[in-house]
Parts: sequence; C-alpha cells; structure tokens
Amino acid sequence: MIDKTDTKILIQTLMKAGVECPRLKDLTILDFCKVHISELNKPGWNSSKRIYETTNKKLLELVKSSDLGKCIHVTSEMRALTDPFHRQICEEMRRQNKGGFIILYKVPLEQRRTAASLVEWNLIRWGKGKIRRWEEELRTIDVVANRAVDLFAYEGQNQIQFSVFGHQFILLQERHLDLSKKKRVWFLKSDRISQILIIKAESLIKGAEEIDEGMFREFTLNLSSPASSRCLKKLASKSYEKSSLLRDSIVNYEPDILGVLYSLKTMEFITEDDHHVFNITRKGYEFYNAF
Amino acid sequence: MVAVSLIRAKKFLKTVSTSPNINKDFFNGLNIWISASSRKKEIIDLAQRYQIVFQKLGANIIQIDKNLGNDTKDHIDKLDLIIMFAATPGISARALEICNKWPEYKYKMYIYMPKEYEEGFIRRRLAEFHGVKRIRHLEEKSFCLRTPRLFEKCLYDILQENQVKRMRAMLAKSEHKPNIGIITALPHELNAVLETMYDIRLETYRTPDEIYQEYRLGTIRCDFGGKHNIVVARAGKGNNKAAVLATNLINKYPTIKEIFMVGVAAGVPNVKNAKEHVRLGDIVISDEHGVIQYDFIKQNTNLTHYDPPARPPSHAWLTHATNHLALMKKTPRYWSYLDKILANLDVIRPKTGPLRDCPWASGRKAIKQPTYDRAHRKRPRILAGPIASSNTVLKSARVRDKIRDVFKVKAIEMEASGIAEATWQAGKGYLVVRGICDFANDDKNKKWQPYAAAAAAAFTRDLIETMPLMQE
Repeated sequence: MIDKTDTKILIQTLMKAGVECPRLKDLTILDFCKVHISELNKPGWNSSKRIYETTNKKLLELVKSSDLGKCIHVTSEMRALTDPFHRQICEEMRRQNKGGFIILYKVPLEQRRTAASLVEWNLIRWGKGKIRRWEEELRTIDVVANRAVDLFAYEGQNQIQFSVFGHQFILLQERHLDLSKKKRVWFLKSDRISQILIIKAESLIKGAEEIDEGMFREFTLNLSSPASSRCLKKLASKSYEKSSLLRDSIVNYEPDILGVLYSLKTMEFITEDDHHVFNITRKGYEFYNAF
Repeated sequence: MVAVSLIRAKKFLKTVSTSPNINKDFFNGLNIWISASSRKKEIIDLAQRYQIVFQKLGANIIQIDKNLGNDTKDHIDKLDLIIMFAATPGISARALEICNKWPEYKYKMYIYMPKEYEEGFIRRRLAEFHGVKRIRHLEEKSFCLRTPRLFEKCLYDILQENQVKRMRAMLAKSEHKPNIGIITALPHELNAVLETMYDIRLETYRTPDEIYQEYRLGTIRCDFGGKHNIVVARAGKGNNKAAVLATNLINKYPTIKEIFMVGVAAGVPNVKNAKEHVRLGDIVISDEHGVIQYDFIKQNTNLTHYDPPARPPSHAWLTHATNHLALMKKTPRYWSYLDKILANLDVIRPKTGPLRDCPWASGRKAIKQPTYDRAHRKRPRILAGPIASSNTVLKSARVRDKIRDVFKVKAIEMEASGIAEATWQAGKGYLVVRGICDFANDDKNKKWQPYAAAAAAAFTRDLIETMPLMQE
C-alpha cells in the first residue's frame, strides 16, 4: 500500500528528476514497491520481483502489439539486463527491428578501454551481494554483444534513475546510493512526465560517451575461442605457468592470447597466482564441460 | 586438389579444437561471404578453392553484390563472417566502404592483408578509426594456394565464430530445459513459489485457436552444484484444470521429470493424537499412499464404496523427502526461507485459535488443539501422509473425519489427483506439498491462506535445493 510518505517521496523524486510541479492527478500509479535487497528483510519492504515483472509484462505486451516509442534506461549499473525476462524482451525488440533499449549507465573512464576491463567492471557490479553464476553472466554479456541494447556511459552523480517506454510508461526509482539495498520504485503512466523524462534522458545521452557493444562481442569471442578451450583443457589436468601456456602452438593462430587469458580470469574460470601460475576453477570446469 | 585441401582442413581443425564433437560440427550452418579480387588470378583460384572447402565443412557461402547497394544490407545482416582478402586495393577499399556505410558489421569482418600494408593508410583507418579488430597480416607469398598459412588462419577464425554459435546454443539449451514443473492453483500460491526462484522469465503462448498458456521459467540452486531449472504455472481451482495444465506442461517441456503441486489445503485434525494432529500453518507432503481421489466412488442406494486408483508419488522425491525430514535440524533452513517470503509478500502469521468445527454453536463447541511436545509453537511442522483430493470445496467436519477414518489422510485439497493422473499417464513423477490453511469445517476462511502458501513454497525450495541434479 502506498502511504503519505511514499507519495511525498514520489513527488520529491519527480522534482529531482527534472519534472516541474509534478501533480498526482497527472499520473497513474500502476504499481509500487518498497524494495529491500537483503537477506534480512524488514516488514513493509519487499523484493523488487513483482514490480519488475509488472513492468516487463507491459513492455512485452507493447513489443508484441504496438509502437514502443523511445525506450531509455537511465541507470547506474545496467542491472536490468541481469533479469532474464528483460533480456528476453530486448532480444524480441531486436528481432522485430523495433530498436533496442538505450541504456545510460556509469562506467569509469579507465574501464571503458578494453573489452575485458569493461566486462570485468560490469560483472563485479552485477555480482555484488549475489552468488556469481557464469551462465547468467554470459547470457547478459551476449545480449549486449548481440546489439540488443545501445550503451552509453555517463558520469552523472546522484542521478535519479528511471526507465521510459511506450510514450507514457515510466519506472521510477527513489534517489539512492549505488548498490543501495533500500529504495522505493514506482511504475507510472503519464504522457506529460514521460515526455519530460525523455527530453532529460536525451540531454544526458548528448553528454555521454557511446560504448562500443562490439567490445562485449570481443569478450565472447575470446572466451569461446579454440585457444580458450585449449587453455582450459590443459589446466584441467594440472597447473601451468603463464610462459608455458603462451608457448602452445595455438598461439600462432590466436592473435590475442593474453586477451583470452584475461577474459577467462574475468569470468573466474581460471585463477592466476603471484608467480603467474594458472589454475582452473570449478566454474572453469563447468564451462569447459558444458561447451 | 580440393580433396587434399579438405583433408588438410579437417586435420588442422582437429588439432586446434578440443571439442569431441568437432567431426560433426565443423562450420555447421555458418553464413560466410568471401570477398576477393576478381582480377588477380591467384586470388580468384584461392577464393574459389576456399569456398568449396568451407562449403564441404558445412558453411553456407553467400554471394553479396560487390557494389554494396542499400538492398545488400539485408543479406549482410544474415552473415556470420565476412572474409576479405585485402591483397588488392579494391578489397581494402570495400572493407572501408562497409565500415563507413554500416559500422555495425565491422565485427563480422576478418581482413587478411599482406604485411607490407601494416603501416598503410587503409589499415590504420580500419583499425584506428573504425576499430576493426580482426586484421591479420601475412607474408604476401601466403596469398596463394601453395602455402597453408592463410588457409589455416581462415580455418581458425571460422572455427572461432562457430564456437561462439555453439556457446550461444549451449546457453539457450540449458536455459530452456526445466526438469521440475510446479503447479499452483491460487494467485498467492504462485507468488509464494516465485519468491523462491531466481532468473524468472515469462513465456506466453497464444495459438490461432485462441489457446493461451502462461509459464514462468526460473531456477532454484542445488546444494551439490548447478541449479534446477523450474517451470511454474497456475491452474486455477479443481482437478480438471490441474490435469490439463500438467499434461500441457509435460507436452511443452518434455524434459520435466516431476511435477510438484505446491499450495494450500485443508488440514485434517486429530485432537486425540497430538503427534498426528495437523495444525494451521503446518505442511503436509504426500507419502507413499499418494493422493486419494475420494469422489471416485461406487454409489449404491444405501452404500458408498470408495474406489480411487492408487497413484503413488515419485519414488526418488519421496525417498529424498523422507530422509530430509528424518535428518532435519532443530532450526531447519526452510524457516529462514519462509521468513523471507513472508517479508517480501507482506504476510503476517495469523494467531492460532481453537479448532472450531461448529462455530455457530457458541464458544463451548470450540476444541482446544493438542500440543505436540516436539513441535515449535509458531513454526510449521511437516507431516507426511495420504492426501485426499476431489472437486469439492469441503466445509463439513463430519465428512472430513469420515475421510480421515477411511483413508488416514492428513490433508484435503482440490488439484492433486488431476496432477497424479496426468503424470502417471505420462510416465512422470509427482509430489504434493501443501500448507494447511483451514480445517475443512464450517469455520473455513481464507485468513491462513497466504501464510500456508508461503510455508509450502519455502519447504519446497529447501527440498529442491537438497536434491542433487539428475545425471545425464
């Protein structure tokens, strides 16, 4: 149930997001949730599953039936893509040529330069507070690699996070610190507020750096390369020093063997100790056997 | 000569690949365009030979109009790789043109150029301005059929693309293979089950015959490594709907081995025997007697003869559940799962009252419920026993007690016999997990339903987590 405090915070959040004089009569609250992402939940605070499912269902309905309008996420960590349902919708949008979701998210400048460092930064953010599961991580990376979304990196501090789609639907989050465990989330319907937020998002896009989604493709190429399989196969039998791995004949064909090793490390499929000795991990075994 | 090249190619691919399936799966279904000069004879021969060999290895060779008109975009879109032998200025220029026109395709491009071009304008433009990653430099003499270097590089690169495709297929395959189906009847039963799952996604199907099906796919982790893939669906009330849904579920996802019915049920109290007494909020799972369809009867003038067919639950899950219950700790793990579901769904455990089989007959008819020493007062207790099922909303203590006396049932509900029948006919297993929300008497109400649904879902999660994955 939405109470007076929640309503007050909604109005404040809209104002901070750039909506002048927001009025409750201008909008319909389709769903509301006080999210608490923690094992120790407190009464009155819920998980975010329900509100995201409501939003995704509406989005899927629009993908299947009508014009989606501009679809933009202004977010911090691009966690929306870790939701399989949302990924499914993004893929569906790509298949139907309805344009991908534009995602604005925060990536430090130094992490944007190489495929592995970019993916590594994302994986760390997505995996915070959760058990990292390589299949889900790979699926998320592959959605970006497949160009189902359009990425931009921005530097915004304390930016209100929201998503807009279908000309009138908004998923709005209360201002919160990155990786915060508590926040309020509203799923709203409003033509006026949606238009204002689209303009706001577009101005943020203008000041943002476009991320080359191809870097995610490079990462998947490295991971699934024959050289990667060869390294995993060798490491499955014993530990190897880096120099010994680099002496393998496959290096003659793989132009970026160091990228391959870095990608495997980023996925936690292999580990490297201080003496540059590599070992395979349990995840690495799983990946190798599944592949 | 093609045969020799093919043998060489297979030998090379077997050397570099670690996959045991490589014999069947060389370049299976990859769409490749080889862009090469049409003026230099050596390059023409080379491209033609490669095309034939790649085709024999399973690739589809696609020809694209070299003028790159706007109508070629659709064709390029379908390509997996663009192989460009940029040993002549024409092909280098074509690579640049593609990057200028459709920058998104630069990741499909594999450009092979002579080493002498390494510092040239086109290479720098492709690599530094357009960010083309896959530019291979080879000795100029490699651009002929006599040396294997270029051939092997091409084979390696195509194999790499094929590996990406295989990885995608592997991810897709593992994602859509549920091994457990869960059926619920009421919306809050569905919500409670969804709270126990991860990576949930919705799959809906609508056929031209106006058949609509809605499934939620997700996972529950396994304590022994890996995860169980689950599909959840809501049937609505009654055995008929449950049977149809179970059949649809099995047809849609043939990898399902068991179907769980998870939800609420009426408990069958036993005030004379505290150990056998079922309380509100307790959990009842089906034992080896399974589900008793108590409306499966022969009705004579003065005699009702019960004749339900025996449908025992899955042996594996029953054994697992029995062992799990026997070894359960004093503070079992599912209690914490229950607390989490209750918090997430804003559900509070109602207060326990007396057993009111005749609520209209004033307070004196209320029966004090017995206390079993080894059961926590405010936490669910798990009992295993036969479960009665029919299409009847039972609100009669007299009928309830009669069913108990005949079948020794511990719970009464409305869906499990449909599921038991459907799974039995399909050669699959089932298990019923029910949270107790009323006593099937005149005092029946919905107060305990959300709590009981959460309790059943929490225990189901614990049970599934502690079951090892099935070995393929």
